[in-house]
Amino acid sequence: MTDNEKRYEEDSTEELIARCLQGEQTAFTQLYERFASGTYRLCYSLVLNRQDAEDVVQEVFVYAFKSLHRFDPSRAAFKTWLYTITVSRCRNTYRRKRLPQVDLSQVFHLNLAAPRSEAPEARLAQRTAQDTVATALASLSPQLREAVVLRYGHGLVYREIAEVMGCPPKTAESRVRLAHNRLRHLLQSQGRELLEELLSF
Amino acid sequence: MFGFKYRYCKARMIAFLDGELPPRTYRRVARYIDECSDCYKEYIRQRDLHQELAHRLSVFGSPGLGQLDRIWDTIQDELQLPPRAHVYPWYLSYGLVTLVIILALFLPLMLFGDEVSSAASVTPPTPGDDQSAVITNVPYQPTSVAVATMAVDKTDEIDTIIPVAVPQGTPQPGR
Repeated sequence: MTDNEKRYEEDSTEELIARCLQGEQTAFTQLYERFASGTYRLCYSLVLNRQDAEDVVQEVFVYAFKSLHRFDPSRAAFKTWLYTITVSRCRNTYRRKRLPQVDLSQVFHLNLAAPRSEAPEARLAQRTAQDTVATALASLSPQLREAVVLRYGHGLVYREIAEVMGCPPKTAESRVRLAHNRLRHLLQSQGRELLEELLSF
Repeated sequence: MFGFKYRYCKARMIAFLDGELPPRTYRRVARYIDECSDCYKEYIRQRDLHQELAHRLSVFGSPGLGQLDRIWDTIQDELQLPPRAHVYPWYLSYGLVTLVIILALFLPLMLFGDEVSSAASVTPPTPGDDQSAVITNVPYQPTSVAVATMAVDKTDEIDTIIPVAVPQGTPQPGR
């Protein structure tokens, strides 16, 4: 997205927020439609469970819409503010559930089928690839998972990641680097061929 | 053994690929990648995984068909509910705060009140006051006896003794 498109997107979001504060119901619906998908993906990437992700998304938007009058556009973008709430709720969820960290070695017992086809094997392979990513994310600590998901899944810069995670920008940068290195180490330790197979999708 | 350039590049490679380095550092890393073969290999290694992560995680966890609509219905139901009544009425919470403030202000007075009042009762003597009444709480000090002795005016008139503080228990000179 170019800078002009980003500026237009932000202007439109601010207009939507202003209409929400005036009580316009369609504005709430449009705001939800604009950010729900990204918020759900973030939730699922962190809690790794569909039902929990749905519950968190519901909590986040209920809280955000009730607290919309507290949002200050001069301090942060709406997306950053919404993701801060999301990460906070996700932390409550996985603290409550204490998600186990999975050994990535079980990833490499999966048989990956030929990619890029409409065959059932390809669909199964795609699902398996998703499981692979899920298992890889689950092998990270919550802080590293948040950093890598926000950076690569949602394109946030380090300053925004720091704001969402509540840490200094240098800490956010080091967490992204650590997560990146950990994933690379785990994937490369199982051989170049498997990495190429994963990359071939 | 890897040299300085490689170690410098490796520590900053992720930020370089993310475009997060300051311009000067970015140019330096780019130069090292061009000049150093180990730096270039590290760049290729990190770049492949960087691209893969960006591709995979940008679509990971996408919601299923109708899932977001279902969530929205639940959100709408919850937003239309009336706000929950507070567990404690407002006057109880304000009363509790007031009680805490009162306790915080008066507790030191209640605990250390005796010492405070006794310190306040010692006042300096003024001329004409009954000296003995003032000094009842002052412990006996031998030096004050010498002072009292020296203060006696050695004239014919006995009554011109200069009045000084006499500690309690000191034997009074008889006339």
